[in-house]
Amino acid sequence: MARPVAIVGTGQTRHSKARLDVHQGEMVREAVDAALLDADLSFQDIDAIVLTNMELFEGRALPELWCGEFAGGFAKPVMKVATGGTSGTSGAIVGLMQAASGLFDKVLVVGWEKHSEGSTQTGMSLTDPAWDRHIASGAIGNFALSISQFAEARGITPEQAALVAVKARRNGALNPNAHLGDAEITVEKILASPMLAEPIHLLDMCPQSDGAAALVIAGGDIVNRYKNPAWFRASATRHDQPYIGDHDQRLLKMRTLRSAAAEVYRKVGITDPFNQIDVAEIYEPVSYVELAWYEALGFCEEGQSGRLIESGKTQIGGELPVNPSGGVLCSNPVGATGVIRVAEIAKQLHKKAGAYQVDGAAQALVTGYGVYAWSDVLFFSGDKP
Amino acid sequence: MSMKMQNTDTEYLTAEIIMDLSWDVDIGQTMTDFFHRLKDEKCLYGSRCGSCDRVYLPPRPICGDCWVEMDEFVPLGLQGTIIGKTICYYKILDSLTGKPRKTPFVLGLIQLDGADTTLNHFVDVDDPAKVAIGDRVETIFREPLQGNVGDIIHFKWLPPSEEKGTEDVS
Repeated sequence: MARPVAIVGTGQTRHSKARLDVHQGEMVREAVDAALLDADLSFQDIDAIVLTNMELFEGRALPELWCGEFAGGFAKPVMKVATGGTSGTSGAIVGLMQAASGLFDKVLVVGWEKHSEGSTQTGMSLTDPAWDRHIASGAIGNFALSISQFAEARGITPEQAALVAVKARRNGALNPNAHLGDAEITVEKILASPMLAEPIHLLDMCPQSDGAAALVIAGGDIVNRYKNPAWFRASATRHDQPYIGDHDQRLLKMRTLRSAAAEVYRKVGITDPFNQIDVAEIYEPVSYVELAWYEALGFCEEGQSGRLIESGKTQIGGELPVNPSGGVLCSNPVGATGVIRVAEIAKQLHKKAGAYQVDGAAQALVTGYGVYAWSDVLFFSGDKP
Repeated sequence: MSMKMQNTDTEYLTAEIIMDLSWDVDIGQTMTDFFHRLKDEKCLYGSRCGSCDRVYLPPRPICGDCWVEMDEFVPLGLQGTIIGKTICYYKILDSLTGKPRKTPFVLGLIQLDGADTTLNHFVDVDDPAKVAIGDRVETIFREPLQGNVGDIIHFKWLPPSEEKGTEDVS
C-alpha cells in the first residue's frame, strides 16, 4: 500500500422496510451528515466521493447524478461503483485505494438502496437476455438450490441454520440502526415461520430494506486527530464466470471467497483465522450461507460449521463474534449493505458500537458477496500498518 | 413574502413509474448458432474448452478460466441429473406467460449429460416430495420449437426405477 489510511467516521440511517418520508437523495444526505459529524468534518473538507447503488432496482437512470448532489458532490470528483451485492464493499475498496494512493486525503463513500420503491426482481433477471430471463428463479430459489447441495453434503440441519438467524436477530435488537431485531427470538420461531423455498423459512432470509450508509476515509497527517482510527490493512476482490450454473458446487467451493480470503490472510499474516481475528462482519443474506462462509473463510474445518454455530463461539462474547451488528439478516439495503459491513467493523475499532461492542476488538474482517460471481474481502486493524 | 416549507403530517406523495418498454438485444454468434441448432436438430450443444476440457452450457466463445477461444460444439444428452433441488412456495412470475406460477413448484439444479455446468429450471413431477438429489430428469421442449431459451419448458422427473431400466440396457 502506498500509504496508511483509516476510516475515521461512519454514518447510517435507521434501516427500515419503507422510508416514505424521504427520497433517495434525502436518505443519502442523512447518512453523509451522520458520517461527517462522526468524523468532525464538514462537506467542504471532503476531496472525493464514491457512490454505490444497484442498477435497475428502483427503475432509475443515473442515480449518481441525482444523489451525488445529496452526498455533497458539487465540484468534486464523484464516481459510482456497481458490482452487484458487493457494490458497497467494492466502493469502500475504491475509496480506500484513492486515499492510499495519496491522490486524496479525505474520501467519502456512500451507498444506498430504497427497496420499498418497487420491482427489485427486475434488476436480478436481466443479466443475459438470451439465456437468463426464462430460467431465473430469483435470489431465494437460487439460494435454496445451492443450499440443498451444501446442506446434504455437510449434514447441516434446519436447527443449525436457525441458530444463525437467532444470533443475528438478537444482535440486531442491540443495534439502533438495524431494520430487524428481536431479543426474544428462538429456533422454534424461525422454524415455524412460513416456508419460502425448502429449506429456507421466511426468518432464514434477509429483509429488503430502505437505507443508506457512509464512510469517511482519511490518509496523511489528518488521521492523527483521531483517537481510534480503523486502519485499512488489505483487500482482495474476485470476479467469476457470469452464469449461476457455471459455479460447480457453489456453496461448497465458493472459489471467489476462498481465493480473496487467502490473498488477504497472506498479506496481513493470518495463518489461524479463527484465533487471530477478533470480529467479523460478513455478507450473509441467508442463515445457511453464514455456515458456508465459516468454511470458506477458514473459521472451521469443512463440515464443522454446524458445530461452530452450536458452540456459541460466534456470538457476542464468544471467541470470534460474527456480525455483532445483526448483519445482512437484519438490514439489507443492497447498494448500502457492503458499506454497512465496513462501517460496522469501523465502529468496533472506533469503540463506538455501544451495546454490541466486542471487547478488545483489534483485528477485524469484512466480506462482500455478489451472486456467487463476486467476492470482496477487507481487513482492518486497530494497529497502524 | 417568503414562507418556510412546512413539515406536514399529511401523507407523503410518490411519483409513479410505469415502464412498458422493449429492447432487441444482439445475442452474438455463438448463441445464434446454438439456437439455430436447437431449432433444426432439437439438440442442445455445449462448448468445450480445448485447454481445461470443461463443457459449458450455455455455450460461449471464451473459457473464462483459461481465456482461450472455444470453437468446438459438443451435443449434450437430453437427460440429466438433479444436483440440487427445492420446493418453492413463494410467488414468481412465469416468464412464458407473465402470470404468477402456481405454487408449490419444484426447481432443480440440473446437470445435463455431457455438461460440466448446471442450469436452474422447473422440474415437472406429480409429487414434489419424491424429488431427491441424484434423480434423473429429461428435457421437455416446446412444440414447435422457436429457437430461443423458452424452447425448454421444463425437465420431467424420471422415477428412479424407470430410469434404471433405460440405463441398464448396455
